[in-house]
Amino acid sequence: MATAKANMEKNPYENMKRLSPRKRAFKQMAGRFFQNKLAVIGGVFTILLICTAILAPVLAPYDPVEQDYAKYLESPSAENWFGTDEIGRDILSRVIYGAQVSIKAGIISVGIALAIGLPIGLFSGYYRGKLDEYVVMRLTDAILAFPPLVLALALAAVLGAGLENAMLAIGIVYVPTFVRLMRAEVLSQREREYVEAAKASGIRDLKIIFLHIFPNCLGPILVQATLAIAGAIIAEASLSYLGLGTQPPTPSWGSMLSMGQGYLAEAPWIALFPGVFIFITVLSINLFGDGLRDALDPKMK
Amino acid sequence: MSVKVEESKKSLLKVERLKKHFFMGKTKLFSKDQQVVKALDGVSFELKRGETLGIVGESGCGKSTMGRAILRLHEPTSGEITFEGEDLMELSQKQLRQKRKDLQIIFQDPYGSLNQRMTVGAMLSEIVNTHKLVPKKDVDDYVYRLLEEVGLKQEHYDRFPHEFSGGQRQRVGIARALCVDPKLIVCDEAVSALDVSVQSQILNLLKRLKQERHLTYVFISHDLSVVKHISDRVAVMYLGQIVELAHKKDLFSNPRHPYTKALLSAVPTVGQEEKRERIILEGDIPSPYNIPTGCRFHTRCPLATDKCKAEEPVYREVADGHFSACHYS
Amino acid sequence: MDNGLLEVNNIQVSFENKKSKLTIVDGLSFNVNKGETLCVVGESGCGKSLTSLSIMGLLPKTGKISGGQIKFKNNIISTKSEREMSKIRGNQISMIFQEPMTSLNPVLTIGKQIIETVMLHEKLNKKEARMRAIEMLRLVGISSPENRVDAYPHELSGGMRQRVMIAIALSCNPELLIADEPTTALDVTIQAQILELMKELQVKMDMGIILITHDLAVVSEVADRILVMYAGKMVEYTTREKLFANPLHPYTQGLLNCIPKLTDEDDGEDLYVIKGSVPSPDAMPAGCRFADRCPIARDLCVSNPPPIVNDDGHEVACWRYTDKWDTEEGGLKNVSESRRIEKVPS
Repeated sequence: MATAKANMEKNPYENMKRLSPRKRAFKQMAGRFFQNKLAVIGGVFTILLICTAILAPVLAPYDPVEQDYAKYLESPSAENWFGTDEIGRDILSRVIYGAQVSIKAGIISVGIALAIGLPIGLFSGYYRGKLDEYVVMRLTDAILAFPPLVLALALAAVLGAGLENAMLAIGIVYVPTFVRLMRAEVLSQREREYVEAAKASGIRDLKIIFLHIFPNCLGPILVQATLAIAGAIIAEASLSYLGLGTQPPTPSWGSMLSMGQGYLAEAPWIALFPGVFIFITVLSINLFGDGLRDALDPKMK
Repeated sequence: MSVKVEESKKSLLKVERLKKHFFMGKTKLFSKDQQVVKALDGVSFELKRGETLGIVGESGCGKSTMGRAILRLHEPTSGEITFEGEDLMELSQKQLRQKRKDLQIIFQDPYGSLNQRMTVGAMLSEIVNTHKLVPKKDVDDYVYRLLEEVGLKQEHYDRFPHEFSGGQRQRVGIARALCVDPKLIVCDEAVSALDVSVQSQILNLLKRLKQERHLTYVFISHDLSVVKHISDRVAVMYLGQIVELAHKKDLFSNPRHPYTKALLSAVPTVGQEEKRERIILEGDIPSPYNIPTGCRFHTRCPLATDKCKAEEPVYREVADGHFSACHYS
Repeated sequence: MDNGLLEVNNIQVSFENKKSKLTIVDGLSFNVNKGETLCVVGESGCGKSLTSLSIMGLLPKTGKISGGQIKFKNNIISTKSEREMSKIRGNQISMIFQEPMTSLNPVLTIGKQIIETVMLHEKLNKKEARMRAIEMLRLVGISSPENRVDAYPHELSGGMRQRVMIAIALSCNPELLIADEPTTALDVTIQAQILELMKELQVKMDMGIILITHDLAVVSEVADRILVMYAGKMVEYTTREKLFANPLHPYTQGLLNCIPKLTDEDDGEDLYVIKGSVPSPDAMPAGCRFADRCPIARDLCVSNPPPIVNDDGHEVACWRYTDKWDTEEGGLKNVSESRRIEKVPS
């Protein structure tokens, strides 16, 4: 240190201008992201869908719950672009309002799963030990042994019907997946030399976990999370269908899809449009997530 | 071993009977036997301040394990590590973290040992802040100084590891080790992954830093020429033990252990006109799962006798400062 | 040329995509005779491995030979189709790679892998092929080959695996063997074994060998002739004796000077250093590619690519050995008296 400290008095760099590393890293990341056309398209669609959900009252041509028995089961027309359902509600308006529920359900339930799953996976994977092997691993095994929908159903039933509880139930069902994935990633990262180097530098465990290991594990987690959002939207639909999720008449894509099932032969548009929107949402979130993963990796060019 | 008083004063690191055994999975479901890999099987040596001890050996001889065991990066199974009179094995995790300031390591793979998602500046400042080496406002300048000292430029502060060439990455690795102003640095194959023209740059840098900062090195490498160039004393390892240790002039001109002799004769040399008599060793290095009885080298030794198969040779001082573990040296 | 085997004429290897074209190997010429070892030396990224892949017709999809030709036994092979090449590969030209573990199939026994190669190229039945495999394993010095033939790659040590790779490469009696860093992943005592083995087999089978390596020490032990490459170009090409006795190119001189040697007596001194680093392939200098690292470079070198000077079979690509060097055009300004780099500058 002698040399480094002794020369410090002069300090010739005081007025040096530079972009803060964080800003520069972000700039580079954005650059990488915008090079990936599919990811940009996914991102734009995701944003559009979120805007649709927020602006639903402005965008929707009709009241989504207003029944009009005069025009039930009408096919798409200039008046009702997406047609009407079995009690004469405008499908377009219901799809627009449904975006609110479905996107919320997808994001919040996965958010819950991440919030619980990632820290458990991180610590469990980093410290290993008996707690990891006998408690965390066996518990996740036990949860994973249930069919996910049945478990969500049981949880939702215990918690009581309603969208909030449905989201919580779905979130809990996804926890073990993220615990497992996070733990597996941490296990592979903790043996890397850069972690050893950080330890050798005397950096504390918590910092190693969050500053060094966690960012290097993000890629697969991001991809899994976008897939889980898709799954959560479907799961919410199933719960709604069974009367445990969104309560009618509030529209959600899932409930519309399941309602439409009964009319597939005579009025396929009832199920088609919510189905198409679920598909577009899932695909765009997934493309977006993929692009984000690549952009977060500084090695990619 | 009798050590003179003034010598012990100069001693920086003393390692005694250091062992590191890895316990692998059980061989059978209900048996209690575990497979034990004796990666390090009783290593003792002493290191003076300002000295460079070279460690050579082939892959699997335990030289890298030893480097990490000294720093307790791999927790040793048993043995003593005395650093400046203090027993490192006694330290708690917290004390150890602070002690890490004095003992540093430079890794072989400059890429794998850097966090790819962190800029060099962020990485170095993190360490400086962790140990509160300088006041917060001076951290950046401290890091700039450090980068210049290892031959990098200020603008490298904001770069990610993948933006560097191999040699520059190793310079970053060196900066990280120097950052805490250590007394001892373990260089684990620090130049092995580099091209020759870059290798000489890094070797010169390490030498210069040693003089300027009064460092002590444990220099681990499989490359005998490099070790000979940089070390004061050299230890030869085979299957988890030191088989010979001596001043480098002694070791290279007058090797006592047959393994050292074979190793030296196997090294190809540039532009040598008359061909040396080469000792080609038979067979491969035995697995550390299953270390041969007696002398561990007897399975490949051209001079092995019945005594070697039965009796483990004692590692002892055969001449002044020249240690060897062979019955016949 | 009766015993001429391979002739490479002025080849270029380039990588192309929609946007750009990168020429990695540029204007390389050499030849290999029967029973002779040619060493191609250079640092990582100099294009030595690509050269060997282009001879084998194994360039990655985006790469191609964009100029020059390769003749094998007086047939042009650089324009041959993949199908025709696959007949030559393994049969007449074989290759061994650096990492034996990744080049061997981990789920097949080594015997099966040798048998597969043998049966692909020769009309033998399974039993004969197996006998052949055992014979090959014995040839490369694997003890009790009758048992080892049924071993899986992971059951063998690194040195053993490299022997197996050699056995596979040699199982069809190739006339040319290309070895890409065959001993780099191995320990010195094992390296000595493998090099010894290759020499022995070369004499037995009268093979030509191209040995690609970064290790000058290995080169000095096994080479007959040496080709030194830098940044995709040939810098020096001559026999081993001439190269080590009198290296002409400043890069070769630098390389030889900057490695520590076991025979060095003085060791307190600093090593010789070639300053800077290799230029990246998308920003190659216009003139001599070594100019910005060269201790004797002049203006001439920076702006013009050097010609190849042939001094009695000693080829070197350097302006220093041309008439222009000492004339006005050479641009003497800023440069001290031209000198050979003898030893470490203080």
